[in-house]
Amino acid sequence: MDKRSLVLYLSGLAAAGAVIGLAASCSDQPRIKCTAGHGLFALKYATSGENCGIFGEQMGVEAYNYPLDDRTNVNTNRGSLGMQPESVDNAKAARGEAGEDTNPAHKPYSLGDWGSPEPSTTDEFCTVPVINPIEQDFPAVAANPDGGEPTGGPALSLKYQWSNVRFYNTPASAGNQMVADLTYSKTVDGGTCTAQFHVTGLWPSVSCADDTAPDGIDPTWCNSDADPSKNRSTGSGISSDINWACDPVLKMCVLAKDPPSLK
Amino acid sequence: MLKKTFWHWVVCAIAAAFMLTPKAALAQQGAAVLTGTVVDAANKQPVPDVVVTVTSPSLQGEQMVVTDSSGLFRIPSLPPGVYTLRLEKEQYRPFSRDGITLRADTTIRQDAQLLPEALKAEEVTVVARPPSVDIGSASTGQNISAEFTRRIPVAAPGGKGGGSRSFEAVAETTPGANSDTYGTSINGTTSPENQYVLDGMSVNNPAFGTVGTPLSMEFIKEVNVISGGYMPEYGRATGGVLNVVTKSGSNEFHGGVFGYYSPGALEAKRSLIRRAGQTVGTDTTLGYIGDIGADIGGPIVKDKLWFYVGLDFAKTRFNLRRTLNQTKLNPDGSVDLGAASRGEQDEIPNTSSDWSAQSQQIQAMGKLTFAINQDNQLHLAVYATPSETGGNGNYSISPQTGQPETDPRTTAGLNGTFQSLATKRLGTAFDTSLKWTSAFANKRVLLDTTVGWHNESGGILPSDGSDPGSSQGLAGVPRVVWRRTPNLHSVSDFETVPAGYCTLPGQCPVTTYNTGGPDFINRQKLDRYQARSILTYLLQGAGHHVIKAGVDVELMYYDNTKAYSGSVRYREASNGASFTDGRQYGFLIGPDDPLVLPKLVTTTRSVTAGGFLQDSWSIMDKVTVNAGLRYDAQFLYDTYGNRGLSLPNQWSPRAGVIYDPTQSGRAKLFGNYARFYESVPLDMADRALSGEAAVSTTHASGCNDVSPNGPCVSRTDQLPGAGSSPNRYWALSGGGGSAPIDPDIKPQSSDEIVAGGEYEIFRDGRMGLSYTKRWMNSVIEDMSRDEAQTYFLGNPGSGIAKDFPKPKRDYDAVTVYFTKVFADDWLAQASYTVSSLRGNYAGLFRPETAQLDPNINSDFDLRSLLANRDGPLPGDRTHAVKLYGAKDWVLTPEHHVTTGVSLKGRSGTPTSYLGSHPRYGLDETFILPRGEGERTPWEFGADLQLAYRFAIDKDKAVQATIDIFNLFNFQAVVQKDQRYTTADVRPVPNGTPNADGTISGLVHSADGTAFDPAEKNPNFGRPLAYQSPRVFRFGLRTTF
Repeated sequence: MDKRSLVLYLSGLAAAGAVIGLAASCSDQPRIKCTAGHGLFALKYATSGENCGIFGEQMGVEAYNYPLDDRTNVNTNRGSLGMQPESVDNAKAARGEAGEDTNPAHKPYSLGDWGSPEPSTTDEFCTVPVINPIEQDFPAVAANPDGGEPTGGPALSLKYQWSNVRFYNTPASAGNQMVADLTYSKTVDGGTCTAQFHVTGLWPSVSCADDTAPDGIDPTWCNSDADPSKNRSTGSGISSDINWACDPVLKMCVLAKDPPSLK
Repeated sequence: MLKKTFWHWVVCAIAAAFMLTPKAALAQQGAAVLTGTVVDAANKQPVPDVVVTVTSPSLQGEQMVVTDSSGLFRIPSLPPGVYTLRLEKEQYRPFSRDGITLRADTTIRQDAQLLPEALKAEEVTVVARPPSVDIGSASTGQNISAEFTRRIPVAAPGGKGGGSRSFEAVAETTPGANSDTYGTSINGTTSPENQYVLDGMSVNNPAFGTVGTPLSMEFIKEVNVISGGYMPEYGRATGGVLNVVTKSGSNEFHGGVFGYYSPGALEAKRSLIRRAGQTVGTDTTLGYIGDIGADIGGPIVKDKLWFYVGLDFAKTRFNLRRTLNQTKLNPDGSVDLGAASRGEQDEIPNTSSDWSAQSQQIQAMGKLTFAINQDNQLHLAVYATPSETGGNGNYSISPQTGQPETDPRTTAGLNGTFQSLATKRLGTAFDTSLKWTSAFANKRVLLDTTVGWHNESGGILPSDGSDPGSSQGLAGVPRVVWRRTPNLHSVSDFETVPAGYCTLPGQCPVTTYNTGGPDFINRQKLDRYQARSILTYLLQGAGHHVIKAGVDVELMYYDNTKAYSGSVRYREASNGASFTDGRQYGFLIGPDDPLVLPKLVTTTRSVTAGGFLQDSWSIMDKVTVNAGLRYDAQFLYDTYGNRGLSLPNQWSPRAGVIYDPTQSGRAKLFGNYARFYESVPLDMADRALSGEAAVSTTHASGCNDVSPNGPCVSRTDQLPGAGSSPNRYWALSGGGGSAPIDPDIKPQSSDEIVAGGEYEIFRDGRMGLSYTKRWMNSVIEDMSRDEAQTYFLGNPGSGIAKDFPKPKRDYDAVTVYFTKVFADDWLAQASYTVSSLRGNYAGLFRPETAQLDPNINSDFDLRSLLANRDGPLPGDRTHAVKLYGAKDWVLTPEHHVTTGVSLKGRSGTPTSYLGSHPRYGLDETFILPRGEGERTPWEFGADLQLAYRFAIDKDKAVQATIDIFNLFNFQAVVQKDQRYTTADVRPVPNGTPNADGTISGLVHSADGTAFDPAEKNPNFGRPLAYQSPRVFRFGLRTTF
């Protein structure tokens, strides 16, 4: 090999090596943006004190996006979160259109902006630092005498004040576990009950009720895998790496512990 | 985390690439190598310092090297062609051998024995036939020359690329290749996985991976279809490599004028396709397909500067006859359900209407070849292929399939209004490349550098040409999809039928019907900038080495403006009570506060940088060891300019051994292992990384806002959704932002082992046997754990998607082949392949639904879609026989008759039982395990070419040809209806069909109630397509 060729050859190798080195230095993937499971979460309400007769419920959750300045697409760096518990929906539905809370200051849902576009790098949680309370005052509505809708109900006030709302966000668990503190208050016919809850939520909400079982539940409904032997062609939809439990009171699949509740 | 911008990386990558450019050397892809050893005929000792010269009409000037101390010579970078070799040394008699055929990407050995002047000639017999076995590589595949495509009837009219007879259509003649929806599948892969290389530059469509520049065979000298076993210099493909070498000028002026025409009047009768449950019949016949063109090449300065130009204009027309057909009645006047299930119908008089689908395409190319000196050459080439189809009251012809967009195989035919079904499609591909090849040091060091630009622009527009996102014209009219089930609509709900027809329920059913606008429309612009440089070094040491090192940088851009006409598609609920916004770009700013986007404009990019190092080491003229490593890294950027997906660390080892037991280039035994990585097309950056925010709501029915008795579109007519949500009326669909990515995502790759042997049984005739095994490693797909609410990107079966099944695509094939290149007035090629293709992953498109979204197809989308996916894949053709032959019959020196024949046979494709999925719609659920349906029957084809050539003199000739495709008009079923039901049903894991065609345990998705056999698609298992009928193509060509 003459000298010139050797120089040629080696410089070619060096250049190839430079490209390879350059490329290998950026192997990381972009981080997930803060989001939450779209649809119903199964919430478990934990307290050591008064529970106002409520142990948990389902809650509708939606992640919203702000537009870009020119309103041509989503601004991926700014979003918000909305939550509406099932109790509010049920109370509204029972009373029909006549029973709506018409106070414009009262919202049936809580809404707040994510504190940052991406989860914290230390614990992978997205936080909603400020979120409005739910306040709904429903008037008493008589039941439809024909037995149909509305089913009616007494005068009812519901109040949900959330704090420390946090969603666990990784590519594998995209906002499907939440944790928050809740001050809950319910006034029925003038009698008020207030409770302080520590709330954990699992998405999606899956029932593990089984009328044929002695204890009324079948935890295998929470399984993420299909079970052809039970004629279940699909799994529960709960992520397979989540550590869940079938709550015997709620008869719903809930997080086994505070998030991240992972196997 | 790195916060570098896209441009930072582009600049860095290019800078790194060009550090090499001024110094590197390239042995060009598509070029051939001639090697050999020169020995003394008397004492069989190697003769050094022999002057070896090759000449060819394909070569500017001549190429000259001298043999080394072992008597070896090697002349690389030769354009494919027929060569003459000359050996000269003092004290020896000159040696000359002509007729050495060099094919693209091959190494041909021509050993020689020199007679000492001192020796009496009669004392030594010199044996020197030009051999044809490529002893330099362990790759499999086929070289398709212009000799072959001119003599064998290929690129049938009416197929893909049939109008202009483009190159990818002829790749199907390769053993192990099969045509698929979007091109030619190689060794069980899908066509978008191929690498299409035009004169050294990639011309894949940057968004979808399909062929982007469908250049006519008229301008092509040779197509080298490398189906497997390729060396590291080829990469970014998990399928095969189609390496195209275009024509060049020469020292003499040569050219021609040609024209081809296939009249529809001579098309044999097609088998009519009548779908049970579908009143609208669509009968497609050929109108005509023709093209006319000319080319010329010659010297501007002899042995210095050559030119070549070519032009072709192609036009295609299909006739579409639309009829309404009523189900037969029993004698008592009731609907004959038996006849209905067999699709037996009576055409309703006075309901037929005639339509057409048309397209036109121009192909143009120009090339300059400039020999700066014996060691330096420049090639500048430009290719342009503009096309237009549809509009002016015509339907369009899909450029991807070559069939009318209303092709009953992939659509329900003309089941709606012209405005809703017809589109106008524009597409222009433009390529330019500049290649510099140079050699140093007695051609021991070579440099080959290429820069190129591939550009495509076009789009799918409404038939009136209005612009996506506009509220004017058809672009402003929403599509309404009508689809009641099980009580199907009657066609009389939409069209006036003659009195007395369609009076009974179920007599004139339509499964789906479309009104309104054209639905999805877009405009797009695609670019690829590519620069590559390869250094080749020929080295002697324990044998002979050909060492190559190269770098390759590629930038891809994709501008896409997407819209649904009228900003929305309304889909009827199965009970007809409401309509849902099936498709509507937009997102929710807050509870029930949507921002609907009339169009979505995205700009996505990708940068790929790679390099390779390989050594081809030939030991003692007996064994060649090929070993090398390729590295690629690809980075995709979303429409916000952020790096969306990083795919570095694509290490592709390749290793092969070739053993020539004859030591004279007449036989080889070979084996090769290779890993191939996929180059991810930009569609996934456009859709998944950039996000396709969409919202939906439900509307009451019974208004005339869009279509008669259709959706009520005012906000006050929206219906509330069920369940608790801060949104009462609106829902997000398709996530809302970009898809999150598994931090440990691995690039998509597949592994391959090939082994075989080849032997030259007579001059120019080779026989061989090869075995190919391919399997998938990681696959990149989008997945959803929550039934299409949110998606993430990952590798099914590993990483964060370890609970998804691992993608499998196992291909095993044995091929026996025989090839005789054109010489002594005949050529032949025969192959038989027996293969098996099993798994749950077809590749970059979904053959069942023709969905082409590379790496974001619906294969692994939903956990509820995953059952029953394992089985024989659609590309599984157990047996395939391909026989091609041509012979020239010289009547007198002036009058020649040539005959060419193509005989093909292949076994049928597996079919499955498909049902509807509640979220994904028709044909997405595998009710029974894949392949449980009956295979389609064998397909046979016999095509014939007859030609008469009148040779005016040595170079001038006039030739008339007749091609007859499907000579015997075989009408085998090539596609069956796999839609078992349009109802949403759950899969029956590991189920089997009952003898009466029912399925035990089949239940509805929503409530688990038993499936009613009346919901079975009466057309299930019936033909959807037959073989193309017999058609003639007449050709006239003058050459000089």
